[in-house]
Amino acid sequence: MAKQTATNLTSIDAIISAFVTFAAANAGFTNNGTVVIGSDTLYRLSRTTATITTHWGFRNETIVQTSRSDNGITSRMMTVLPTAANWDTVSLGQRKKSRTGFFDLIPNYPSYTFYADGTNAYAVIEVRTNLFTYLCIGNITKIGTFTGGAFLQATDDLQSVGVWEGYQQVGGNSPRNNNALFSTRGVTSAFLYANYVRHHTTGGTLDFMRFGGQDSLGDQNFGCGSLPPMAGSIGNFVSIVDVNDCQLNYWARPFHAAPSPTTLRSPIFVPYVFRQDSATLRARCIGFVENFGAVNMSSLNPKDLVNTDWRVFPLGQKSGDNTVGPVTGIYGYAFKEIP
Amino acid sequence: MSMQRSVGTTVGPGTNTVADATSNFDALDKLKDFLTGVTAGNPVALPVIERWTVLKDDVITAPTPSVSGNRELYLRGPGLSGTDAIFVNIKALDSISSNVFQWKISMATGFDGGQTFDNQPGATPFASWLTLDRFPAGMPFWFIASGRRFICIFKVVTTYVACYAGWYLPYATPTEFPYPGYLGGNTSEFGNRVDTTNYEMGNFYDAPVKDFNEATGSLRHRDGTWKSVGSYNSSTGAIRPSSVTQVNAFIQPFDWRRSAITPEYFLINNADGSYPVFPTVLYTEQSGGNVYGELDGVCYTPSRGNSTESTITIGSDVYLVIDNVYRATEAYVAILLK
Repeated sequence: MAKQTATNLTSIDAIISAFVTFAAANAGFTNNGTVVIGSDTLYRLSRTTATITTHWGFRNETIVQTSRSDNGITSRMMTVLPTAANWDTVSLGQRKKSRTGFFDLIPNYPSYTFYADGTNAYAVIEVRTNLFTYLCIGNITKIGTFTGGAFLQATDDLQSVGVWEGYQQVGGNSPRNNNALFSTRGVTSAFLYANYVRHHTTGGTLDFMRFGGQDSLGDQNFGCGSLPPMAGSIGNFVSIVDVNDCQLNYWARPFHAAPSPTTLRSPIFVPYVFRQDSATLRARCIGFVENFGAVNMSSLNPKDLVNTDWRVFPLGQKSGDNTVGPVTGIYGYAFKEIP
Repeated sequence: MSMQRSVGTTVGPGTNTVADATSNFDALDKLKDFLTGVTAGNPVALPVIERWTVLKDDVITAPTPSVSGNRELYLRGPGLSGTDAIFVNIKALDSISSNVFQWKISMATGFDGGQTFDNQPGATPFASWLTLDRFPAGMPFWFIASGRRFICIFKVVTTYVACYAGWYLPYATPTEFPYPGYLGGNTSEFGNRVDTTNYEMGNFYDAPVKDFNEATGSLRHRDGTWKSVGSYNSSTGAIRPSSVTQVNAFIQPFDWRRSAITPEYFLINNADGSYPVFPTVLYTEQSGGNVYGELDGVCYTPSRGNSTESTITIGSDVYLVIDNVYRATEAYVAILLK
């Protein structure tokens, strides 16, 4: 995959700008330039796949919540070109915005690493030494035929301005691992809340399906999370890549059984994406994300290169100070580095 | 890899026209011919470099309509490059008085012609069994083989019995896991017939376990020990046991009873009506855990709306879907016909 790195990052805007340029050059996106929202800059990409155009917007936005002010990237997939006027229009894209939190940290950030495989672009941002956050965009590799498939993956989502849904429910403050409850959630399933895949609903209308979590607003998700699809599931949605569990239980059992104590090897698990069928309340596999996977970090260190060409990173930080950022232990991501 | 089928079946690429097997002895003859490349007119013969070698074929008693049979076949697979040595031994037991017609299958790490079937070097401590029959009407079959492993599927009326013998695909280098053996039949029990309908029956990918020393499947760990593999406790009952206890390792995702999530009920076909296939992963949670690798050419596929002997085509790959023995309502397996 194409790769780009930089160190000593002095601003989030510079990171977004570099990522947008990189994605356009290496993953087939069109760079639609920027517009201004208030005092923030909104960066925009788009791509047309099988006659369907999807737009991605990225905003360097500081969120003030309770007593805390947090830095990060707010992002969203939309059906139209994002503007200052439509950025908050619910019907034009993801119902909730995605968020790549920087955990209260301010520049200087140690590094970023971007990957692109011609279709997808991945940003791995090191916001403090060995503490990471993510922003990934592209199209899933489909299993079966359907319209859509664009995705956006971040690390959290926004229920409304100033409130992080997942963290707000449990931790009460900000995207930090600041109490025992939050610590539990952070280790299991809190890290993939902000993921969306674009897909048809039953009626044939393109919609943005959120996956990897459950909230209190009726926008429930299931599947790779700990919530089975039979439990109160309504409507269509997709799920995936939750390192806690999934429809096939790869995460629940083999993931935790890795790595081999004799070889210290840990397999890289394919992130399958599932969608619930509203008629049967059963799950369909709709695809997977290429060149990306989940990996057990028990015997690995952040940034290790394993299996020849896969670079691994913890979801947050493998260990460390949980008042700075989530300690995510064995859970990690792997990105294929060399084609 | 190569695949052979009998005339009674109609699916798969590169098929042969070999007569259905009529007994477990006949089935063994056909497997032997296929693995060694001697089947006449075989359009999908194994590549020469991957053909297996017969180390010993000892017909102790040839069966007749009134006489039981007893035979031991010792095979060595060469791997894909021709330089490996993979030992699989099959004992065909054909007992008229007991009404039992089975293959007793064992793996070993070597061959000693002076030793008995059960005392071969590095042998599996317990055998896997494949239930067959004397069946003049013919048992359609599928053989899928490479130099590393072979898979046999036999259809007896509406029951599908299957075995896997050889190497799995390890998540490790040959140096790290030098002999990644996996062996599985369709029961851990001597004496079961092919028409047995209870939970002592179950094919190697979703199979019963009696205890640590008697399981339908076994895999070889790096330290040379063989580990029992299975999905549920062996039972003479008609209802699938909800637990599995004395077992060393599992095959994901067929071990679904270990979780509240039951993939064969929760997963359905793709949005366009086609079916997905997922790899089968061997793992253990003992001694710090271990994820060994995947069964070669053996995949899980949703059963809902699917049907046995249907095929799934993904690119140029064709998979054969079959029931688990007599059970049409449980998870299906998709075997890559390649």
